[in-house]
Amino acid sequence: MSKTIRLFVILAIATTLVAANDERPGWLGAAMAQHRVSSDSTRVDWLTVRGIEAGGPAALGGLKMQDVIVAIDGKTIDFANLAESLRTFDSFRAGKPVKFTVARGTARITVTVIPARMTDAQYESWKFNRAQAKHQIEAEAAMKKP
Amino acid sequence: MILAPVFLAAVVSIQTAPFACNGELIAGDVRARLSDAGGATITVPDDAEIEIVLDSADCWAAPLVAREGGASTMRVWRRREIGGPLSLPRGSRSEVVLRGEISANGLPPTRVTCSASPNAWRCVLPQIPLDLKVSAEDFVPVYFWDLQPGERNRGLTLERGGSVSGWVGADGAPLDGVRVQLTPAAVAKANERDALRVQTRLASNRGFFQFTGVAAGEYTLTATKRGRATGETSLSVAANRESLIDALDLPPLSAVDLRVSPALDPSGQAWQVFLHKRELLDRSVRPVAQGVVSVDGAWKKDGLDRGPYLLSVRDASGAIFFERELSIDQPVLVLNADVAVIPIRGTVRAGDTPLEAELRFEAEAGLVTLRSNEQGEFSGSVPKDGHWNVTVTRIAQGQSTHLQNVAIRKRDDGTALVDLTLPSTYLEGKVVDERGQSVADGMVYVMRKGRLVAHASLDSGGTFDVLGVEPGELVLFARTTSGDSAEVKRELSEGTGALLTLIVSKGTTIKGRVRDAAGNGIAGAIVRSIAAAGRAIEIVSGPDGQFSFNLGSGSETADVILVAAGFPVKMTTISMQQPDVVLQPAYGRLHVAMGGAPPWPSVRRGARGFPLFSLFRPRHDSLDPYEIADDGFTIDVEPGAYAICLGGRCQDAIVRPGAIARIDTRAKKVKEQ
Repeated sequence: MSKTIRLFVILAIATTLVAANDERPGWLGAAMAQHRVSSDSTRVDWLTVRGIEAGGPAALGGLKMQDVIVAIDGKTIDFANLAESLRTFDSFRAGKPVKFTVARGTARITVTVIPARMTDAQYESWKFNRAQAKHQIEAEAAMKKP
Repeated sequence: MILAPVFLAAVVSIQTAPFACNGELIAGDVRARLSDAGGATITVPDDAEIEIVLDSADCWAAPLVAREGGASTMRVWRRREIGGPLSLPRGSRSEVVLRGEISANGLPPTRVTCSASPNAWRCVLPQIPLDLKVSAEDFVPVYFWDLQPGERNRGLTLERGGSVSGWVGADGAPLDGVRVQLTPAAVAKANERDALRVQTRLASNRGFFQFTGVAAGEYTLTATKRGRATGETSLSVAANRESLIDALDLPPLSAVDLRVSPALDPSGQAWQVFLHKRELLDRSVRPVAQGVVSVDGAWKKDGLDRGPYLLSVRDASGAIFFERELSIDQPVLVLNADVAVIPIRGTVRAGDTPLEAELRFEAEAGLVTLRSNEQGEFSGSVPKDGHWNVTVTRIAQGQSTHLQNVAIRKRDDGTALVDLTLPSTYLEGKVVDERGQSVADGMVYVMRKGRLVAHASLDSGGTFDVLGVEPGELVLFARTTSGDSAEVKRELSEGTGALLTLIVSKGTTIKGRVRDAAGNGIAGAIVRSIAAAGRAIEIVSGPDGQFSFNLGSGSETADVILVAAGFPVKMTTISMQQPDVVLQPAYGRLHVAMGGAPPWPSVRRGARGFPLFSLFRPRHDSLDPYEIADDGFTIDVEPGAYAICLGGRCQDAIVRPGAIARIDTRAKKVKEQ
């Protein structure tokens, strides 16, 4: 029987927007924790909102602290690992709406967030977070090895 | 007695060329027809200035204020009208009184005639490019920019509510591309709904911005543009009124020019400078610059926003020797930092045994790290005398002992002698798992009355030793990758020690569900608990309200706090047999008045006790708790009996549904309303 210890990995999932020659992801203004199905699995089955920047796109779109995100753009969250979840968030682009299916209390609602353009400071912070995440991804890969 | 008014003549000439202008001049009840030459003489009362307006089907002129006997010139343009459909909010009365105001090159802001019928509006304007502002009582003003002479038709939609409008610029000229943010003052300490009321606009190329649908209250307006200082002002917005901001100035960025004396740190290396910006809303700081002072003691940083900063000068090891709050509001702030340096030397021992250790001195004045040699001797510098907390870390053993209030006294020669003598106590032992296997990866913590007094890393064999803890009753526990141990109490006296074995366990996992009375799972509920050995737990329930966490070794139950949106905070106990929690919507309020400094109170419900802050709802980054009140905190809680404890004294309060129970931890009485 697999153990279902919940392991949260706080990610500063800042997302991006992109101008013509800009590789920056769109910025959401929200921090999310990943929920893993068990302590010995890298699979992620939902996200919880653990930080909202006042006035940021997530706040303006109506995302709230403690929201449990179960789907993004209609696709149920089932990330195989951290790398896959980061790819999803890095695909967000400024000005392109993202629909989050949210479990909030006893309700299920859809929240649309329009990512904003990352400022230089946010972009630097995002790069720093990604560098840190890289170590975790490597650790996850090592976990899979026999 | 009736005084007959005295009428004198005012002569008004009209600049109409190159077009003809028919009509009348009107001054109160007096009218005068324009002559073919475009002039008129009008007789006005002499007791005051009087406004003269032009009534013409083909010309427009701004109202003119004339004095008796004077000759004035009224500048006239061709007349045009603009108007179109009028939309009002549902339920509004159809009659609204419109006011118009125009501004254009060569024309000061001037009132124009506007009118409204149930479904249409119109304003009479000069036939020139202009800006038009249309307002009506209780509605948000509408701005029409760059209306061209040929434009005749525009829709007008009026919304109710307060609004904030204004301009951003620099040196009197408008700035475009400025990001303007309107933040309720309450965001810093109110609730999430307020945070969502933060609005952002991009100022137009005229530097204009407008926020509509603004609720009455206090706000902060912030304007930012790259390469410019941030403009900021606070304002009040009244219900259904426009708040007009004259102009937010965004001057070029500022600079700090720092001179440090002496030019080098006590070890002869360059000083480091750290500059942090202090946020206005919550007084938190964020780093903005870091650099090294030149050999002649100079450091400069430009490109700075104006506002409050925190600047610190540190030695090469990172010890803070100078710290200053700055307010930068000029192009260049010149600052001289005269760094105080007190050379210190001394020894560190445990009983008679010298210790080779890292010594970390901490105080408000700074943070200094020194090293002692095999003889326990050390030397270095601190920025200030007084009392310091010192952590003595034996590097080789990975063990630290924390000393409080170590006195550093400056002698006549300007130096200080510091001898650190730790008690000759010891704690030794090993950490094993439930099968008796050594556990290598972890720490052992030694606590006294909830305060950490020492800690030690486990070596590869799972053993540890702790030196120099003050005699008295102690609590030890181990925290490892294999789990936590139970807490173990020991009494130590001077010159004695203890040998012990700590057993860690994976513990048991409890799986439960947060739900409402109808059985629906509640997603996003925060579950907080304190497991064995003081390990704090915070998890969030999943989409169907499910949660699970490790209870630690030897535990079958857990005291938990449930914090869910839309429900009051609940304190309860769950067990392996009854792991589910039912939340009820009925709530009361618990108000705890308290002092502004530690110790902080705890909240008890039955046998369960948690720090007061454990009951707080999550907040937006960097913001004060939603529960904050003038003299403490107010928390929505499940009705019932509570006790607030501080310093060993508890006060009881019954929280009834819909009522507020007040407890003042500075007094003994409990009030209930």
